[in-house]
Amino acid sequence: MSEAHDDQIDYAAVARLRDWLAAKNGRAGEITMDTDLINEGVLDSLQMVNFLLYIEEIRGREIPEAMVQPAYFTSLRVIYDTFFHGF
Amino acid sequence: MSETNRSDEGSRKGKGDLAALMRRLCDLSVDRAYDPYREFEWPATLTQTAPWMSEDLLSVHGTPYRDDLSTEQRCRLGHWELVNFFSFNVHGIKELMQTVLTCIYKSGHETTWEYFHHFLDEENKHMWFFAEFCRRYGGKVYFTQKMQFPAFSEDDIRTFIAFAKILISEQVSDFYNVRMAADETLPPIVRKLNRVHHEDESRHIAMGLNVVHAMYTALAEKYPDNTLRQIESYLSRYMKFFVESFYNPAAYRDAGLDEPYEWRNKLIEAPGRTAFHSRALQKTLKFFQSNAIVTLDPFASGSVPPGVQAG
Repeated sequence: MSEAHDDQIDYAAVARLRDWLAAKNGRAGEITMDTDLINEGVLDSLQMVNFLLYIEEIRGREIPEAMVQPAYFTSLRVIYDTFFHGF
Repeated sequence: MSETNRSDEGSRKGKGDLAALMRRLCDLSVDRAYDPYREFEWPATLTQTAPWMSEDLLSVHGTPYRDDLSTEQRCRLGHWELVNFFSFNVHGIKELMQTVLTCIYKSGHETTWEYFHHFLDEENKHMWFFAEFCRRYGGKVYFTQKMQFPAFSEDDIRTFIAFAKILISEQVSDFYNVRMAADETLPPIVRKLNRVHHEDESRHIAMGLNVVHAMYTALAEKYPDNTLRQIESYLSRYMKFFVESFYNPAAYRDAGLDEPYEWRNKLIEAPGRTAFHSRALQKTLKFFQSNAIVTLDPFASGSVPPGVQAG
């Protein structure tokens, strides 16, 4: 997995993810690429499955079992680098 | 008699009642013990042209989308939805066994220590026979997409939440078990797995109702209303989360349906599913509401206070 430079990011995909998160907890505008989604309480374990399925829906592929770990979902940047950029 | 004395006496009586119940449950478990490795006759194959799951338990039931599928497609969907149901039972059992293993021989749970042995024994059997079915006839156990990370920091609240989740999942699963055990259109092995699970779970649920009640009584005396409302919010959301586990895109994909995520989204939101969710949750909601633990409707929009986070 490589990190995406800012000019390589598909911002439409990121915007959809951010909109989903904002709709779930009413924190639109506060969620940046580097907001800690888990420790800052943007996502909890009950929301995580729906968020994971939404990521799958956007990318058009299942997330493999080995990647169903909180470490891959800590921020929009980590999610993007893991599941969208060069994957 | 002072308030304190009355409270102590009530607590002693409650513990005595719980101890008597645990003794009865232990005796029943001994009387009804079975060897799962000899109990079931597994056919080499299962019919591909008849249902494995009751028609009225399919996730398309009660929606206009049901009629978009042929009888054969609904039959195939039922095969994969049963594998999904048994798969998330497998993962749920793993989780609840970890909870009980944490509590056994730990102070505060003395009354249930002995019964925990039977509980763990029976849950291990269930995990084996559900996984066996999935592997034999589905070729796999669907993996879980659940990730655990805690939000409540207090040990007693975490333990209560864990037991409450066990009770919710057991009561909703039992709704499915009872229906399928009685459905003569299903293969005998499917009916028997559901019947055996239901029979064991009736004891586990009896324990759960009493343990959850006792734990919540202690929490209600200790924590402020705001904390109790956070617990309520979490459990209400868990009920919704649990019934949504039945809508698995991987099962729709395996059943040959295009756009599996769209199927999940539109079925969860379909008006016809609301009544079904209420029926599936009826017993568990009745218990949690009658004990004033959860008064929120899990499916009412706006029922969850914003900013309440738990995991």
